[in-house]
Amino acid sequence: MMKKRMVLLSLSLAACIGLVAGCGGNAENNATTGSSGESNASTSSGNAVEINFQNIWVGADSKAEVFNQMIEGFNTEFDGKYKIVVEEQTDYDMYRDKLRTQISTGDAPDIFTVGSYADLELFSQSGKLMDLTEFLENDDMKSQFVSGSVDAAKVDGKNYGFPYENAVVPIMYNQKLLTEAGVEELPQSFEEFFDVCEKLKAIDVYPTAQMTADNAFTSMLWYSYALAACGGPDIYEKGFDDPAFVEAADLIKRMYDYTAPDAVGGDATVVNGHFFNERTGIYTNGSWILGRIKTEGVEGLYDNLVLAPGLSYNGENGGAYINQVQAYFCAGAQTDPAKEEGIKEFFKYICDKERVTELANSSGALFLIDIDSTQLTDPVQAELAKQSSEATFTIGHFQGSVPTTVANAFPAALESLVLGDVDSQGFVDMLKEANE
Amino acid sequence: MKVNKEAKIGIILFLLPALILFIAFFLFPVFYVGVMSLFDWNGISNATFAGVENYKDIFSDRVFWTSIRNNIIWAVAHVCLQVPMALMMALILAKKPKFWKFFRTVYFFPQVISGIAIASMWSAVFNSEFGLLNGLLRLVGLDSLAKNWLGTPSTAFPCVLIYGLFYIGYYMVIMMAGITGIDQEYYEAAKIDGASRLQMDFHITIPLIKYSIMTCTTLAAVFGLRTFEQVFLLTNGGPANRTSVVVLYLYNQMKDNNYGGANAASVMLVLVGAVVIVTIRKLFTLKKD
Repeated sequence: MMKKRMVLLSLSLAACIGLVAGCGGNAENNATTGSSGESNASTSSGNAVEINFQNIWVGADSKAEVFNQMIEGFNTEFDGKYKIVVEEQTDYDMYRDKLRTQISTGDAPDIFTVGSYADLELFSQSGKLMDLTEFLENDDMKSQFVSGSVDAAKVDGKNYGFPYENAVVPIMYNQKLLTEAGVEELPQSFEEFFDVCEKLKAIDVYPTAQMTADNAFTSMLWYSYALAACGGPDIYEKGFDDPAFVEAADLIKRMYDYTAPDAVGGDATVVNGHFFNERTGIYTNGSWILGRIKTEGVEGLYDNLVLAPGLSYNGENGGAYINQVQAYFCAGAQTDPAKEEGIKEFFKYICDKERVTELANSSGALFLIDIDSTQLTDPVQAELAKQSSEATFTIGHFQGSVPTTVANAFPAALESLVLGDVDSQGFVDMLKEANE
Repeated sequence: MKVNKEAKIGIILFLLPALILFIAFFLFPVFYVGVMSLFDWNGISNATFAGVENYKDIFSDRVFWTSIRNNIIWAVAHVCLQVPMALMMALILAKKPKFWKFFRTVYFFPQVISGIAIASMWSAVFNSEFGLLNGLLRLVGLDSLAKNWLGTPSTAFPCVLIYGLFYIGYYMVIMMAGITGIDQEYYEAAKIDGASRLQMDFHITIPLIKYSIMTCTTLAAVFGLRTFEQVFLLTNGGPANRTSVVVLYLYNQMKDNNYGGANAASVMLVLVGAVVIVTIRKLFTLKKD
């Protein structure tokens, strides 16, 4: 009995010691296994320096195939020297939360993308990001980018990231459905737009698809176009007291009279599903969706696609194009020169104009790499690039042009507006409240 | 009973691993959250002392109060619906009728399925365009009743709430275990006195599993208060924050890079939880007195 008790006591003691030892950890081991930018030693596979990359362009993303080929190409070219290890990130919101946590805990990934300048600015404050200013000022890198785009990504005069993907957002019409509805000309103004909506509704087609779930992206784009029409190119600088915010809210509320019943609570899948299956006639999204329309849309949809710039309101501000940096590339600060060098090599590799041209052609997406637009093989994409360059003015979208808190408040404010909890002024007040 | 020194050491050593884990992974984080709720922090740069500003902010936020109200409804619904349903099932199945093992498994089944899978299923049921519910309504000619269930203010909350009502298996098993431990002599004596089955349930079984019921009531209330995944996955708090709950509220504060506000909301949740637990224990104790 006594022996048994002693054995139990010993086991219990051992468990406690093991627990304490486990909590203490081993500083030496941690230094070699972490992927953090603060780590002193490289994580290596064989002799190659392993570089962790949190990649959002995976799965159904239109860039996934060619971008992953690019990564494989890099790993092959630098075989034995550098190896990009991809960690797939399939949910944008979750990815952003994860990234913020990693950076705040000093565990910034080696390579990652951020979706807005607000996030780039926030993460830059951490001191955990690699300063890429000098690297980007080298002629061989500088010449890769659209003029002025790298400078526009500076935070306090330094580049902690560089712009890569560009959201060029057209208004897309399904010509086949418009013809069926008796629409002969594309609308030029919001007034004409609602006439077209009436005609589409008359043939039992939902004129537009809207969404309020997640970041209410599609509706946010429509609101951005409404803001451009009501307030002009400098609307975001005017502040929320400008009447254009209320007028634009009136327009977006009216659009909800011409949408599918699942708009409130609907997400991007709902919106895309309606347009891809010709249940809705008018749509807006970034150019990256072109690849998916081509592959996932019903037969003939891509050929029936007609692109157009923004609409005017009261005869003003027509022909605008939404143009916003959609992805910035960043790197975690490194103390290992080999890893830092590897990261810069990877950045050079993915900014190569030929490779980016291939990526653009395969996905429909557009980039801030200064590629020759005549090399774009897809006529729809080429038309988009042309229209965008000829726009009367370009403007950022709402989400990328306001503080994060306001962008996050937008979906609930929109739901309150369309459900009648608040009027257009109340909607703007909710945004203002989030801004305080 | 006097415990000798050796046994005391043994007790301490056996308690120590759990105690260390409890302090490291519960007490310390709770304390830390409490402290950080007094700071303004965006999760990246240095935190600055803000006093009670975060509390003032959340108290003046309509969404916070909606979330608290919804959490209380969740807790009450869990306690008033799940626990009685589980008790009823436990009383029936404890009598071991035909197929009792099958039904015990069936009722426990939702407990072992991932919440995400169940949310996806409900999302498909409530989908306004292709959902099962609207499909059935259209099939029987009730087209006018078909709607966007999760996007309509009057139906969104009940639709999310109904999801939780299927989780009765856990409480049922706890109560069945309690019933199994009741001495059969009580029932034999009652039978001799001519008591009916219903009388035996009300006068023997239920009073003797009072502490199992209290445990289930406490757990149901706590689960109701910390509800997150159902709401997050089905409505994300919408439409217009009508289904928001406190955990979702604090998650959204974090999304806004307002960690101070998120921590203040966490502290409030802990306090509300503590009040609810104490109240439930008090209610059961009062009944005893």
